[in-house]
Amino acid sequence: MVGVKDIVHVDGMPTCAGSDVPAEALAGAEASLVGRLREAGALVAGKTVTAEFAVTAPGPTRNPHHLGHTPGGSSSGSAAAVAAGMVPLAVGTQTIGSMIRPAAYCGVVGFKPTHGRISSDGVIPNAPTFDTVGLFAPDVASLAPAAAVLCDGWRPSGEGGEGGETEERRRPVLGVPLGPYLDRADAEARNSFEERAERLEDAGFTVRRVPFPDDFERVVAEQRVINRYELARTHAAWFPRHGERYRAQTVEAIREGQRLSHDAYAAALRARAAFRERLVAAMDRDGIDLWITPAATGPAPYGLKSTGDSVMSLPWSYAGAPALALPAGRAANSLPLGVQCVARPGVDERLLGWAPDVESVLVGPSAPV
Amino acid sequence: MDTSCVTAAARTCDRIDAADGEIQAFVPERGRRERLGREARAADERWGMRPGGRRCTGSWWA
Repeated sequence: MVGVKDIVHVDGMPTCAGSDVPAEALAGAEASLVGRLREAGALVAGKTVTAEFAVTAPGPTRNPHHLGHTPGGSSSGSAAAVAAGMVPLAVGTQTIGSMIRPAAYCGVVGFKPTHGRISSDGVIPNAPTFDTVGLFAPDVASLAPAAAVLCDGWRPSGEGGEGGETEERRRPVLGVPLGPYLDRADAEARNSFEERAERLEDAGFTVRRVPFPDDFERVVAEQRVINRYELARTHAAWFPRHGERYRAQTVEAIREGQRLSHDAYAAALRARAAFRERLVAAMDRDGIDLWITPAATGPAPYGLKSTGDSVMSLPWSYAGAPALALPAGRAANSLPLGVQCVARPGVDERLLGWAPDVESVLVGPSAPV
Repeated sequence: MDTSCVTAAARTCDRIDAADGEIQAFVPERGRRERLGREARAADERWGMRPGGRRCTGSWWA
């Protein structure tokens, strides 16, 4: 049984994308990912709530761990449905932090593969060069078979190459990216993360602490240019006809994108390509297999008017890298915290192959689900 | 233990009915139980009733 985010077209179910725009205006052919899941034997339990058009305006979903807190977003319903035990698997999407953050807030595993690794046909876009389909499940063992079904060209263990058995059996070298990026986590999340990093070292993992990225504020600015420019183009046909039905946060984001020039967008794309190269070069230079970071800036904030801050996912989504949120204890208010693992673009098999070993150390005695 | 897709579908609907009034993770769907029941019967027919043959009740989406 699988929940499917309501920006993914499923035959027989209207797609409203969390909006008041008529479903007929948004209709489209069933996403091929849904066909793959059905062919593997899955049944669609239902559509799950999304922030409007997978941007920021939240839906009604509450955090199962504390109903007064946000579950995160934009894949709010998918994360909450798994956390509440309603379904053991759910499909989400991530543009910047729309899976990793809700996974952390809800205490479940969230997998955002390399950009483009799961087909996004039949999925209403947000910013297509970021948008990535992914999965939520209670643990890595439950998630991995579904990833193998959905990811193009999946190479299971033992077949060599990037997903090879030898590489997966080797313990990954972990990297902690020091600097302005990590400083965006709040004190509680940072302290918990450091404790988890030490726990991983005690368990025999090599953990290297290195400055990265050196131009974080520029990365933040450039991703916003790409994100907003593409969002405005995604809504170029719908917005003029149905804009009065859009919520203020979405309107503001689209208007921002409309004001951006193509030259600014092209420059941001070039900057992103260069960042991707620097990311891989940094991992090569320091011998890092996986970055580990807090999966969110802290536990789920109180209230339902915001889905929280996506910044901890930002550089990795910007680079199109695969990321995994793993439950990692609880905050003082008993809400879940998570650790994010990020691999080089394209090595999704290795990320999921290494993950159970990391997961077993992170969950420890205070398993959040 | 009954591991048919029909039973799994009914259990899923029970869980959604019990929890989703408060959590609101799912988009409301009229006739969810009937739809899932139909799809589950078709899956049971497709995948067979022998143990291990019912893929929708495998460990990742039972």
